Amino acid sequence: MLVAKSTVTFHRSKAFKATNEEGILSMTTRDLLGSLLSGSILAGLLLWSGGIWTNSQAQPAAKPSNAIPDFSSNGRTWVLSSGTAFLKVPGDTGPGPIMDKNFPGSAFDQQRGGARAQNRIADTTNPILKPWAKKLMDIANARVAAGGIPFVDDSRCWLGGVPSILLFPGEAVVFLQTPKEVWILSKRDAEVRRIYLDVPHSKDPGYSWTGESVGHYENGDTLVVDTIGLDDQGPLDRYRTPHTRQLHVIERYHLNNGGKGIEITFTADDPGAFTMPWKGKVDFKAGTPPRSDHWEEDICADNGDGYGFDPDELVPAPHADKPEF
Amino acid sequence: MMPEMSGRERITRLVFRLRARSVAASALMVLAVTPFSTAVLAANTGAWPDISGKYWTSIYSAKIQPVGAGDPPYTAAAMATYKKNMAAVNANTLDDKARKVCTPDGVPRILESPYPFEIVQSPDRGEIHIIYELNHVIRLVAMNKPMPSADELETFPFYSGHSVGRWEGDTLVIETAGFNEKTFLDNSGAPHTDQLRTIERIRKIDGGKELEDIVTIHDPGVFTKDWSARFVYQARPDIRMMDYACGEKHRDLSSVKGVQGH
Repeated sequence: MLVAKSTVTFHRSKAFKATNEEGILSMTTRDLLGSLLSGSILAGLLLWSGGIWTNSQAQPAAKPSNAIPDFSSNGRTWVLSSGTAFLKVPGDTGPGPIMDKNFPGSAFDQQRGGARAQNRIADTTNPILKPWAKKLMDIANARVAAGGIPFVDDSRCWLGGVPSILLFPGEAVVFLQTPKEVWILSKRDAEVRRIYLDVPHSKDPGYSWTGESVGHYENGDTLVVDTIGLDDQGPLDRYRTPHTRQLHVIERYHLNNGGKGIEITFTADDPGAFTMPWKGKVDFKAGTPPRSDHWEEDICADNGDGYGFDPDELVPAPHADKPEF
Repeated sequence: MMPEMSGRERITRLVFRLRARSVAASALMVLAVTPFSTAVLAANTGAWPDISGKYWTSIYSAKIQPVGAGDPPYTAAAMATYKKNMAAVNANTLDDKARKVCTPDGVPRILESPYPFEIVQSPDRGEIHIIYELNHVIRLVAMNKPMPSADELETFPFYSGHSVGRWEGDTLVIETAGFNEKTFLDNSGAPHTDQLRTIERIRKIDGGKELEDIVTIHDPGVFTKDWSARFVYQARPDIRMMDYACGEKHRDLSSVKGVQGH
């Protein structure tokens, strides 16, 4: 277990306010008290980093209450274990994530015995959807019901967004943890997320597939990740749920089952696409170390049409018409 | 004239040829890396040098520059292939999937990328990740482990090969083998075979302001002798790594001298 010697606390009251439904992000209030490096925090991090990085003989201090959860050491890998649909968070009284019209109440894969789902039909009666989002999804539902094959971003070699990357199945996920940054690497097409620890969001993070993620640890067992700046290119799940650039996702990676599992719950807030913030979750289970023996290359573009189950007429795979340089 | 062979015989013969080539290549590899191999399993005691961070070149050249200038020491046949490839690059007809559908560049081509990269040293010291922005390539360097067997390298060839590393003083030494033959050695179409093997020596220079990577290239399939190239990158703690999606607009490369058409 990695050990921190100081407490790092975020307080965030109201980070974003949407100005319209067209995806213009307006950041009105940032209350990140305590997230900046105070003297005690800086000292704690320096002590921690010194112990880890420079002295092979260093012994960890007695475990304090603010221990940092260890998602990464001893070559640990993780794999999605809850199926490729978001689950409802236990105890959540809200409507929860978009689920399957034909298999309500549980992840599609689980209902189908783990079989890979291609022809899933979204339950668009979920009240989280704004009318335009529901309309788009109904159109896609009709195509799928008529025998069409749905778009899945990673199957076409596009980058996974947040939270859709949580649903990448099969291949290993690896965490790298350093005092200032956490990397989450997905073996599937070598995708990379970066979480900058204990810093506020940038004033102008721009927009990208994985957005800008900042994070902190809580309670010795949880990594909290706050992501904005997500472009609106891909759906955020395999029911083709759309989103806008106003999407704001807060994930909580909770280490459980004696370090053999991670429950990842998240809140998705997008006033452009949703009528209310909603919650969802997935579960990861620990893979078999060491990862250095398992990090086989898995290059999506190597497969020609990506992972092979989407028709070309829907969305072309990423390509450059001429060499970039 | 070759006698007629059944499909099974053809496959058997092909497998035998591949195995024989692999064994021969392995023997050459062993000879080539003997000075290093004895140290691979040595315990890594004492302080761990820190070369982690973000780096970005300020100079780009499509053609890899051997130390001492000139062309890589290609055999006559390989040089003919190289010239053909260079002509195809100029005509934009080269089947270069790294630039067209963004498969990994491989080593050493990725070393001349005009995009930044970052080195992440895992706290438990078991491995080092080198994460390149271009085509979001990840190289995992298993520290103080032996190179996978020749059979494994042949059975599972990768774009970026299989890498093992160790520290020699302040220098990270990375041996890489088990490449596929889908890549070029550089952006000018320099060819190689699956006998390619590289040894990189990476260290901080100029008081930590720069990172030096000297790569030695061994490929008896195309070269008459081993040769080296040197790359220098600036430490860039001021930048953040960005997403890279093929065909999309990416970061401004105007600060990198030599980049054309960007």
